[in-house]
Amino acid sequence: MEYFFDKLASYRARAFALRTFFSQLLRRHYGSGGATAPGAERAFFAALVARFAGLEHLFADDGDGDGSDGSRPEFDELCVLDARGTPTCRSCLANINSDATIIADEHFARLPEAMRETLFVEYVEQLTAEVVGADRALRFWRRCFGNQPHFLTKAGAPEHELWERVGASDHVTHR
Amino acid sequence: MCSAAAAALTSRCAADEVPMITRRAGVGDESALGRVSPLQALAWERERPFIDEAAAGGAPVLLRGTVVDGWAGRAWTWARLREHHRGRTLDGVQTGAHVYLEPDTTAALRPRLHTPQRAANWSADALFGALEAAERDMAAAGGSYDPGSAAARREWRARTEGYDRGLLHFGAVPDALAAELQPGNLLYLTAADAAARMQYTWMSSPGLRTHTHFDSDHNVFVQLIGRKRFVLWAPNQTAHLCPFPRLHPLWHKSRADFEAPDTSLPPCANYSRAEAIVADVERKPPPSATNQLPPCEAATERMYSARLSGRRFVCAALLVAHGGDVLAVALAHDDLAVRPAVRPFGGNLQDGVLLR
Repeated sequence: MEYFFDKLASYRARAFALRTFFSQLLRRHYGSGGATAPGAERAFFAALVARFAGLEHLFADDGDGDGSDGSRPEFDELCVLDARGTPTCRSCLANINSDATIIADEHFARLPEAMRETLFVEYVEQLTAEVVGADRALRFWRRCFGNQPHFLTKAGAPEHELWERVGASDHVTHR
Repeated sequence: MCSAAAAALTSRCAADEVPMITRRAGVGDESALGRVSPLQALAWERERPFIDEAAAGGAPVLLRGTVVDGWAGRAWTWARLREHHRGRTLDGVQTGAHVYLEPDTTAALRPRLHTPQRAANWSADALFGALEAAERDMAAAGGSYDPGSAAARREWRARTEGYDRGLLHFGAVPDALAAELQPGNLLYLTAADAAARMQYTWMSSPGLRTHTHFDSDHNVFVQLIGRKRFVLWAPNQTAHLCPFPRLHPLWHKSRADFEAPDTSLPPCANYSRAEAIVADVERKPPPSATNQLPPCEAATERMYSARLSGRRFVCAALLVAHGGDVLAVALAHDDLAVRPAVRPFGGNLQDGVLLR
């Protein structure tokens, strides 16, 4: 399956879109009252990070900084553009929602319940490694799901260029 | 890093390597689990299909009296098996550890894992000879223990760990052997799967264990010589067994050593809550063939099991093992379906295991 973020030319844009995709996917996968509950998204990724206990050294950047070095983990450039949070656009959201619906409803919802969660977590791991790189996966999960806001980019704004697609002749107009 | 404290899987371990799994002294094996229940065998009928029902049931099943009872392979002896392989070259893996676990070298993360096993081409004569020698050595090492007993195997492993005395073969079933595993159609879910006939054999020296894992396939195991123990966990036990993450080369395998689980590792903290099913399968040589075995081997049992596996039964694997019982620890977790296993024999011996 080719996801929306696969079509984006910029690495940063793909990482932004992946964060949005995971947020939407968790909502679809767990339904209302699940991952939509306050803190549920953070809890999901905290559990995912816990799977790597004792394996943190395998990551070039595990994102375990506490900000004592002056950095602000909640503003990691992997997932936020600035204080406004993670950028997206209206058509981006439509595409991402469509992708999340396909994955949640057509794949995971059809799996036997007992094995669904194990495979779902593994799917999130693999997709993260493919999009942001395995060496940054732990940092992505630790720093990018702390309830940072999303915001819509506007046509004409410099950041709207993030949504440029792969291929010079493949420009898409975004609202 | 490799150290004396991490004794398991560390033979010839280089300073910049890490053991694949770590051990911790204390309670191990089934005793470390929260609950273990035996899987009872079901009497079946030779011509009665079972795969559809097994797949739909979604649980391990042990069957006795299936189509397998009509196979020529039911009468196999170790000598006959050896003769079938004569002149062939076989893949053989030597290991200095008590478990067999193979890393996925395509995984996203690339730790410097120490793999205590080495693969090489073996002549069939050399491989069978080495397996038989291992069995003789185990019988001798057992000392006062009953030959073939769990205590004897432990003693054997304690004496041989780190010395490449573990030996196993995993490979496609030769045509000559496959002809004696007929009819096999009832073991497959579809005609296309039966036509594909992806069957593999597994042979090993005594006491070797396949590390706790799960497969993505349905599996049918047919026990033809010797005995084997399966420890199976339902999918809802997966978290207790602390599998390696998907990005790690040991993904779909447990981080806990079944014999000596390190529950101080945070992901394995609930390991002792896990509930398992245990299935023992056994196939002794036919009485008429017993005398074909060297006297020193008659005291222990050989194992020849067939494992038919595959996603949606598309492919199949034949599993072979030699020696005392091989404890195959399978994390019974399939992403799509059951993993059935069947072995032949009647009388007081069990016939098969249908794993999930």
